[in-house]
Amino acid sequence: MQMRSNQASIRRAVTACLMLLLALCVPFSAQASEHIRLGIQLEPPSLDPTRTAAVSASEITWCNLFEGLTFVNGEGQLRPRLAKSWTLSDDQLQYRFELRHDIRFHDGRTFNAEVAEFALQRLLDPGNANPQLEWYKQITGVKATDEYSLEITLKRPDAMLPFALSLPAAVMVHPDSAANNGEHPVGTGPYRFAGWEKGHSVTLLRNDDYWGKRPALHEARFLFMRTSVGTENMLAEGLVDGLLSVTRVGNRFLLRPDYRMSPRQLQSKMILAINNGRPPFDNLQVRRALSHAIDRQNLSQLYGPQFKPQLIGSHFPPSHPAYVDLVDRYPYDPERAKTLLREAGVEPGTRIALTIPPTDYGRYGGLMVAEDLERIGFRVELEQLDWSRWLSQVFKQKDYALTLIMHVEPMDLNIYARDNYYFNYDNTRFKAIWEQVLNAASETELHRLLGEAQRQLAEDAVNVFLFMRPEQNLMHRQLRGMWEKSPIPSFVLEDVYWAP
Amino acid sequence: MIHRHKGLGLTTKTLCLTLAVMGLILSVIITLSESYKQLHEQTRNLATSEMESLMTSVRLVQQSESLGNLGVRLTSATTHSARRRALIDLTDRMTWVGQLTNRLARQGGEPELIEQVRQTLHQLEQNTAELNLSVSERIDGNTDPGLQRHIEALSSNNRELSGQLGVLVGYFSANTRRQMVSQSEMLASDIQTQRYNLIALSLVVLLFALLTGIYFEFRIVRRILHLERTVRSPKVDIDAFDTLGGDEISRLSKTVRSYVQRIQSHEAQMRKAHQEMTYLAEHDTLTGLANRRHFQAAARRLLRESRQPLCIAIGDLDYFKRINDRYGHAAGDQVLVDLARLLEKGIRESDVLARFGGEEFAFILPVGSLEDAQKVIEKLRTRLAEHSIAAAPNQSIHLSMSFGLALVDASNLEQPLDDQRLETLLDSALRAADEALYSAKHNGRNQVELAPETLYANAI
Repeated sequence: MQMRSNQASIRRAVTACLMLLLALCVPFSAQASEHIRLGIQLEPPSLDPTRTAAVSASEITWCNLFEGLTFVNGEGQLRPRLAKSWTLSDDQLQYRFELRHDIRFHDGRTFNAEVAEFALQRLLDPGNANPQLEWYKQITGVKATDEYSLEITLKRPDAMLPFALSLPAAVMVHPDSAANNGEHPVGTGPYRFAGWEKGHSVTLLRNDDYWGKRPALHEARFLFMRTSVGTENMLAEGLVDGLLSVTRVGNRFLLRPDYRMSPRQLQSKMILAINNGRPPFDNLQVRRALSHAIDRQNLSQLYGPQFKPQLIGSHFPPSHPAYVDLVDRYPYDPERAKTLLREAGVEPGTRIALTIPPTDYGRYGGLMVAEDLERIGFRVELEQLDWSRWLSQVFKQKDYALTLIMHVEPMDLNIYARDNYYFNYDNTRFKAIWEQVLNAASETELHRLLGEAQRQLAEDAVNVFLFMRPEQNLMHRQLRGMWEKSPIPSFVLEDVYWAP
Repeated sequence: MIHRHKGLGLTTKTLCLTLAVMGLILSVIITLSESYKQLHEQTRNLATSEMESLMTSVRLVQQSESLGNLGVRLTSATTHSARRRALIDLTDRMTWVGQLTNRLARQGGEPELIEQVRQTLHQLEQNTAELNLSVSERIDGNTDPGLQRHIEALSSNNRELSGQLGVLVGYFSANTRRQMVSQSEMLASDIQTQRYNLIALSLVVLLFALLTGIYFEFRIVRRILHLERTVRSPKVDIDAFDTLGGDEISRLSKTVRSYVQRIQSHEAQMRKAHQEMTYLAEHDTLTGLANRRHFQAAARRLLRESRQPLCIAIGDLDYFKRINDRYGHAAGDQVLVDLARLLEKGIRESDVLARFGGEEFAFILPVGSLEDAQKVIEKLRTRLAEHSIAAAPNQSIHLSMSFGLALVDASNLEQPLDDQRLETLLDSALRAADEALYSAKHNGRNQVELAPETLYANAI
């Protein structure tokens, strides 16, 4: 017996030693292939996608750090996420979501229907300035009926609600951490926040307590590429593994064997946004002059000759069934533009500022737009802003004349129906159309009304609608598992891995 | 006996030694892995952050140099388009230089120098903005020579600032390179130290393993061999067992020793019992004289071996029944015992005396002739007749014995007697002696009667 217990203790000691050896060995291996560094052009002012319109916040956090009740997966399909399932009442005015159990936030707090109720009430509170509030306007009530059941009541049927709840703006946040999410986001996702080096990068680390499948990558770093030359440098030296949007410099790097193009299914619409409330752009003729003045064909070559972006004539993607081709509504015609300006009483040599965000398209697209505008008689000064200043000065304070900008949110036609949106668009007629859109009884009617909405925007020449950005990201050839079919502006890490 | 202090058991010792060896190996591994980790860290640091610092500073030098050219491009712009393009490129690069400077600051560049770089960059930005405005004015048609001079001054200032920036960040680059060289030298010396450490540690492990082997040889193998030799020897020496230690081998030794001791004690008892049984089988319990069986065996042996004739004599105590009747059986037994002592004293070394039963005694006397035997027996009879024996306290009695003698001659035989003839010869001799005794009794007791004839073996 003594012998046996001694043998057992020897065995235990040997096992302990082996474990220790293993523990000593592990940190030296399996490291390099668990990191990813991704270049992102715009540093968001906040990491809370429920509070900022900066898409880079959701690119970093959506389905990585934060999760919603639903999500659109890598195949582009709408699926439940923190909800297990949902049902719709017969009168189509009440959604009932059954939530998953045993979900915890990164700080250990529990997720339940009460938390979900709080998150949605917070979203609906206009004081919280949710960037996508328009999507949820038809919600009249949110109520936790028991610990894991949530009831959402609507003022009118809305088949798009489950999709709306998948958007980054509707992710679940906890009442105790929500206020601080901008600087130190706390979500339920497979990655947790590890640090934000302002001006440089945001780092996420794998959440080892995640309720779902364990992701392959241990660490992800999103590096902010504020300059074109910097992007080129970083790519050249292999300091980034991929870029989260197409850039002018990307093409050159396809010559290298370590990079490739990875498609995305975003609906990024490049527009020359016009402050419709600021003279002379409050004049429809001036806005139409701008639409005639911009050589979209030329501008669309911004990213290089091998990309053939689709031109647009309104704020709507050609891939949608309700798309109306309005590309030729304002053909490129500088003479016509000049005439329109003359008729509108705009003096040649009028100085205007073109505000550009610190992106590749901003800098080089801005130069092209400036030349087009000078061709019809404006004197253009480029105003380069960093991203947080662009967001505060242009997007919030609407203190600008023209700006070149990309709208990447899917199905965001409703921004034109919003009050106080930065276009300053006097939109009574559009609002009426949009009200009809929301009440459309059938798909055919919906499509017809969406067409009408597109036409209205084109007629009002609200902005100069330029082209759809080619959605090709430059990625390292060995990277796999990107959600290439997701329409949500995001970079979901959970399936990403390094191919051996 | 080997003396040893009581101590820990072998299992404990083995466990302790195994753990010690494992501990040693483990500590070697930990030390090694720690040092490798350290080396790994150093290499990684060299390969990543130092290399990155170097690359950052080299990039900074390149970018600073290109700022000068871009400034020239801005100065020489004749259209707003060219001016804007130069400005965009300049701003992009200046932003990137600013970012790289921040990077360098985070990587631990000298703060004063970083501050100087930042100030120079800031001056360059301001100078560039002013240059841009002046160039823009010139493009718009202002041909004032003052403006042109101003542009030239700004442009020259731009070149100077870019140059200064280049010199400042060049210093970083050189410094980082120097640091890298010194770090790689340090790394090389660390690797050398670790190599020596590895050799030293390996030697320690080897020495310890060797000592452990020697220890086991002396503490286990040799003792087991000693035990085996002790047990194997034909006469096991109990004191040779190693029993004073407290370990398993000592315990095993003790067990074997006690086992051997038990076996030896059993053996002794058996031998004693055997001796007793043999004695009992061949002796009369009362007098301690040989019994009939022993007598016959002795007679057969003597008949076979003797070179001279043998006298077989039978003596019977006269009137013994009377003693028994008068003094009791105990007294009678005592008389027989005393008589036996008396008879023993009266015969020669070479003679055999046995009690045949009751008061009858038999003798074998190797003699030359029957007369010689008669002399011996007659002397015995006379001594007995003169002797008194105490039958009871203060009760001495005189005894007498009658003897019948027969002579057997088995000497001078050509071949040894076989068993059957031997038996026949002995029986005949006894019978002849018995008959002579009878005659002695019949003729009035207390006398010696001789068998009429010598019995010759070759006559059987």
